[in-house]
Amino acid sequence: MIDRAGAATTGRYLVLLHEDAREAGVEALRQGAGVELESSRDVAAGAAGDHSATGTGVMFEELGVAVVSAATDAEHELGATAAAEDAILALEPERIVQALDETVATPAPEPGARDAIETRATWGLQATGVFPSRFSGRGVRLAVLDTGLDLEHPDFVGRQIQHRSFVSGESFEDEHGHGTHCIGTACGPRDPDRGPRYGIAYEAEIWAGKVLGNDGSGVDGGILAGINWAVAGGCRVVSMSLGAPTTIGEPYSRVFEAAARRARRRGTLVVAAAGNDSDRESGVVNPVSHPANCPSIAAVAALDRHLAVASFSNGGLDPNGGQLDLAAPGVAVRSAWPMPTRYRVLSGTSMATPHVAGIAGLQAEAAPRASADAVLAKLLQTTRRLPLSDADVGAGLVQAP
Amino acid sequence: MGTQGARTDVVVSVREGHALEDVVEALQQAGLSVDESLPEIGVVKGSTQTSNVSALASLGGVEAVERSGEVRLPPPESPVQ
Repeated sequence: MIDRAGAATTGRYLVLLHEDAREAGVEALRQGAGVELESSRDVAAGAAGDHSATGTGVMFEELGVAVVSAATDAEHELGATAAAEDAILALEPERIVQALDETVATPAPEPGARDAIETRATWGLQATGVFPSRFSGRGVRLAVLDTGLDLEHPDFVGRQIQHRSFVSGESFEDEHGHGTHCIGTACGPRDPDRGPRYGIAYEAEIWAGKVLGNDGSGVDGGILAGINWAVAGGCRVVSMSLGAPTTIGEPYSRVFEAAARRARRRGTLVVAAAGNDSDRESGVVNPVSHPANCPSIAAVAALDRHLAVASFSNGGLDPNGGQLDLAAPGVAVRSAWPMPTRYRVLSGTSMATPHVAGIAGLQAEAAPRASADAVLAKLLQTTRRLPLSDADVGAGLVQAP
Repeated sequence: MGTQGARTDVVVSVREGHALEDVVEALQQAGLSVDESLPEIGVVKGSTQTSNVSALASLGGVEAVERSGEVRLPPPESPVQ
């Protein structure tokens, strides 16, 4: 677990503690690795960064994260303690933040490292390996069919954007917010105006089709028109964070299936949200929504930051298309929101879907002549496998190339 | 059953190997008011009398006729989207 090979770490470690067992985690660090923690509340403001004497650490109570400095000969004990103690969810080297962009040699973080600190990138971009990826979506056209985009948002100024409204009587401008959030995740900038990086394909050409009105509703005909527009424009990926609930045994739409099959033949992969109709905490799982339940559309489930299935995320209850294909971060996802709000943290399979779409854009960049089927195959083959049912998460957590 | 019956917005997929224009013409003759053809994905949007949907579906070159259903997002203030 402990890897000092990268020069771009500080020698300190971030320790993520279980919310319900912090005291046990603190005690395990003290007994197992000789680390005495102080509460950040007891440390004078600004002093935390200087708190580097070995065998000490600072506990950030609000985050459930400790930053610790183990003596060199105690690092092994630190790793062993973290591995053995259930109250410790993750241990990772503290990275030197400025170095990440230019140090190719920086080791990738542990796959799916559950870093609670979104200092440089959202937890979703960390868990999917986007942050250290060298790909940016450059040269790739990526369509998001949603409620539009706030073109005045500072994070999208200067971007290549094609936009069109397919909602009769409404301009393209996003007066709902959902579209801006989804486009933010799929295509937001590398260096946002404020806060951590949240966008994946930051150099992709954005094709923003408004197929949902400002009231959040849309019709199949408008969505199909949006898909047709994206295919005609040569988009490699279409992201659709939308859907309508289905019932078990309900057949998928043959029209959407034909449309998605033809789109794929022309090089356009369509991904869609599995839907939020479940309440797993109460034992209720509902089937994948329309149109994600079509065999030729990749259905995306939502995960939380502990890589558990989100309670609301629909399940693969129907055969022949009703399965999940992939899972992605979809709980507490920070992304753009129309000004003046600027950013919001939201949950939903709507938030998971653009993670897959953005990473599909990176795969498309990595293989410029790859077919849509090949891009999907790559996504499926490179997932982080999860100890969960494939009925819930498909092939697992999508990973950036 | 008059000509003033309820109308339905529909989406129609065209079978592989059939020219879109030919099928569009047949659909129009069979009572589809064509709104838009989507050639990249072989789909036609339009509206027709609700009672006429099955007749359209039986035309040669038509793969499927479906009502253009609605999707709806939660309101913007909802934390789950």
